[in-house]
Amino acid sequence: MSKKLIQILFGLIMLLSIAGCGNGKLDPKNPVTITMWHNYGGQMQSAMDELIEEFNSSIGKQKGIIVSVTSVSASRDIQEKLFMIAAGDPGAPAMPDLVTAYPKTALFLSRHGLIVPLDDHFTDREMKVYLPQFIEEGRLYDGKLYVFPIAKSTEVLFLNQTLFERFSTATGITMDSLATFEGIAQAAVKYYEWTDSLTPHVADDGKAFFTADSWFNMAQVGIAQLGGEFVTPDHLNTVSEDYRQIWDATILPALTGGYAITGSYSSDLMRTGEIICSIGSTAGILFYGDRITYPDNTTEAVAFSTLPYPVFAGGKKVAIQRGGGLCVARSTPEKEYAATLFLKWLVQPRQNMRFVSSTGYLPVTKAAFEKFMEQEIARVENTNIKELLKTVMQMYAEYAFLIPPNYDSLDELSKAYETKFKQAALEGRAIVLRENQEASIISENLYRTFIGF
Amino acid sequence: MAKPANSFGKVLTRVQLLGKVGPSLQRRSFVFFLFFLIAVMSGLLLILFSTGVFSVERNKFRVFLQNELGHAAQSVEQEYGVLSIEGVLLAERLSKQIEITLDNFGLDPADLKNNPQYLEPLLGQTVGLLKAALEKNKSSGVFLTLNATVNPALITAESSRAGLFLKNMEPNVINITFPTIRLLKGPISIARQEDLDLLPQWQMEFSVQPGDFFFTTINGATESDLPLSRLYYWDPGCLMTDCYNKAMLLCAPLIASNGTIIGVCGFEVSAMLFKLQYTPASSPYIRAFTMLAPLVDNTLDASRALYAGHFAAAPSGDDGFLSIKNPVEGIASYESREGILYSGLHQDINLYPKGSAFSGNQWALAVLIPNQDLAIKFIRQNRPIQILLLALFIFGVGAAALLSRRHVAPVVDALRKVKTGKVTHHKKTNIQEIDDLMAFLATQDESDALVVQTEEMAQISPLVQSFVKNVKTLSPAERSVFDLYLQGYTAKEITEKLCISINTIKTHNKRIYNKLNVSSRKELLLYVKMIQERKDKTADDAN
Repeated sequence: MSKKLIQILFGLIMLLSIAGCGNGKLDPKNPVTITMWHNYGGQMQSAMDELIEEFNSSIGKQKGIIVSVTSVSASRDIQEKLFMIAAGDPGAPAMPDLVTAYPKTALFLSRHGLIVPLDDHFTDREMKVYLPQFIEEGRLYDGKLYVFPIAKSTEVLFLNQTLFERFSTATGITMDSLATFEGIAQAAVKYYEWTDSLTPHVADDGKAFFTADSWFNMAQVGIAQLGGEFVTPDHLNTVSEDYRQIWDATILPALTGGYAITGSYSSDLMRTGEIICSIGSTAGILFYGDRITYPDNTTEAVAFSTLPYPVFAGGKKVAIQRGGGLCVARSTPEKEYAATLFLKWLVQPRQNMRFVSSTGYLPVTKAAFEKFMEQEIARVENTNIKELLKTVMQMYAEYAFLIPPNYDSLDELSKAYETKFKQAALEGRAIVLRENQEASIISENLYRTFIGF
Repeated sequence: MAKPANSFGKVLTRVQLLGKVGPSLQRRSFVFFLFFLIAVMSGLLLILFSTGVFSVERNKFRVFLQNELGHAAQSVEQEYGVLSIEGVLLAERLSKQIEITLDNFGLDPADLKNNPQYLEPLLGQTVGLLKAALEKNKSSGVFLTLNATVNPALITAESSRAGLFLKNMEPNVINITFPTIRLLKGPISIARQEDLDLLPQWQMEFSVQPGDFFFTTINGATESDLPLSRLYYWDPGCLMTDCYNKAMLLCAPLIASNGTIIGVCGFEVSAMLFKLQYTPASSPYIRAFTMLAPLVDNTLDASRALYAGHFAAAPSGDDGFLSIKNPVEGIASYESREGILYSGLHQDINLYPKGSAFSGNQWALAVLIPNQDLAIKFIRQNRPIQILLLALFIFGVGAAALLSRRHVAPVVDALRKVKTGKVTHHKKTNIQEIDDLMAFLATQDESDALVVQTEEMAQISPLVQSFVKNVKTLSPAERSVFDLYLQGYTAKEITEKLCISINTIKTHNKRIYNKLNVSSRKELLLYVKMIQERKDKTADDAN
């Protein structure tokens, strides 16, 4: 049976299920308007806008549903506003009917009664269509599904292939080094020295090699790779041998200038050629074009590649599962039903693959993932996304995926870790530059201070 | 001649027959009723049309358009007016600040192009003003484009301009006290200083080209000596180079005190912001959309318009133009080059003050809906009336057929009886003329019989002969009464039978007596008896 036929049959089954589970209260003559906030900006916004318009013109028109996007913003900004709504802050906006959120935000919203579980809107048969690990991530404290996955992501290693090859030719460091964090650390130290040596008349002007968007995620996944557990309900496990390995592999290149420690997204540094590789979400692929811009406004054509998430030496292949989902706000039964109907339509393989192929996210249905992904990889024109999808397929075959726990304290703990780690790295780097001490000694001192946070 | 085919042949034969003998009474009656029905239906339709029943939906649509357009146009003029004023104020403030900063660097505004090393610190000084302007106004972005580039040695220097473009990611819905600001264009060092994240489409400098927002504004300021408030320019909705979404830009020139044009600044109204602000309210016309477009030669330039609506009902393609047709019944028609028709209304929007360097640029705000949607809506609205009228017509035709048949049936029956000589078996039809005629014919038959009998009875009695002769002088009414006497009815029974009063009977009796020369009913019945006996005898003889 051809894939197209399977796709059509699958679509028909999904459509029938959509049509069959109606509560009959929707009226095409008096459509309900579903407001939506999402974090799919830029190119992702165009893809989402197209899908929404298609829904409004087809199923929406037929059933009497209009989906209206009223805000497109970064997930952390959306989260901030949702917290304002939950707290009843003056000036807080009205709660949208659909909103993208991570499970930890959803947990907060559900405890304030702002969102509804979606289990009653799906039959067991319908639920089996989705990848179970994606559904599980959206289940909260009471075991009910609050965060419906529409597209998921993981973290990968982005590499400026052009600059790396230049570095590789000069130093002999190969791509093999990028398979482990220890290898990256060594390459980073080497890269700093090499770039520093290019301007012998200027001291300590070497360039950073690597950064991560979330040092917390790196530690969390790293410990999982080594078989341990980093996060507990009330603290982070920073005294274990596993963590010590991660600390050493991370802080030493940071102290020697090989890792960039900034408040910026890694893609910002990659686009200006300030670093040449980074760990970030697959959804960050849209930030990578085909050129980098230097401070004097000269640009250089480069090729970016995507590599599987590195592993700490001796660890197993584990990567994080990221990406929130859409939550349905508690409102009228008609609106809740209409919102769910839109969700079901949005994740049908045809729609889901269209969104995925233009955004760098992963589809959420088994059919889309198993049957249509390869087809989509062949079809996609954007070489960055094509490479990314290939890498992600490889990772899904070889890696286990870590679903972060939904502890209430997780957000606070991760923020504190991020701040303390960057603070330690920056302080240490300053000491190295100021006092010309051995990085390993400073690292030891920082660790003793750092683990007490 | 060959016989025509079955059904056709039958019809032809009937028509030929009809031509020879004329239509039957029933058909004539049916046609008469049909004409009557058509007259009634025409009158009804005339009333429905004249009272506007068929144009209720059209009127509703016109009211919807007028309301939507009225509100939106008022809002657009107000919002865009405020942005225009704020843009001019921003240009004044920025010009002043840039001039002071340059002065601190020991530079004249005209020297900026040749000293690119000062661009970054200069731009850094303006971030505060730009952010404040962005936070204060309902705008999706604020920008400053200097007439200089950081690297004049580059091949692309001619089309590259240093500047800043700050985007407000949630300009409309979410609390504007804490806007989420991102850097779209500008030095990355400023993003770091100000803790601004870059947008995926970030570029260090603006790419400019002749005819775009930058050169049009600069040229407008160069070619005239108008005050700043007459020099701002609204750039139509278009894709800025390397930008992902459509937007309109309010552009005001930055003019130093010595007249040097330093650059351009202004606000952005993105397609998203326009959509959030001006999408038509929920209504039955769910594919209605608002469009703000340049108006050129009675044509809306849809390719450079901003749209607001829930559906992709707006003209597709970037080269779309909508030519405006004359309004019919208060609703205008718009046709795209692909031949797609829209209905709606538009109104001129005044974006410039009198005497502006760009007052020749006309804009219009339109509220439109695809004709296809409207036609469906109108047809649906009138369908119940159409069905009702059709049902009424069908019922009318059926009723005409039935009535014509029932109406003519007694006449046909009477004629058949006349033809078959069974006039005396006629039952009362309650149609006076037919009953009278049949009674008359029956009497005629009986009179004729009496005449025959009378001739036979001539020798019997001269008195009877005279009696029979005089019977012929009776009027039809008198004859009816007389006939009933013949049949043995009493006077009282005759009053019931003929539905007349006893006094009328008496009057008839008096006249009948006079005409028949009898003095009483008894004498009359005697004569009748004699005639009857004679009649019976004749019948017996015949047998």
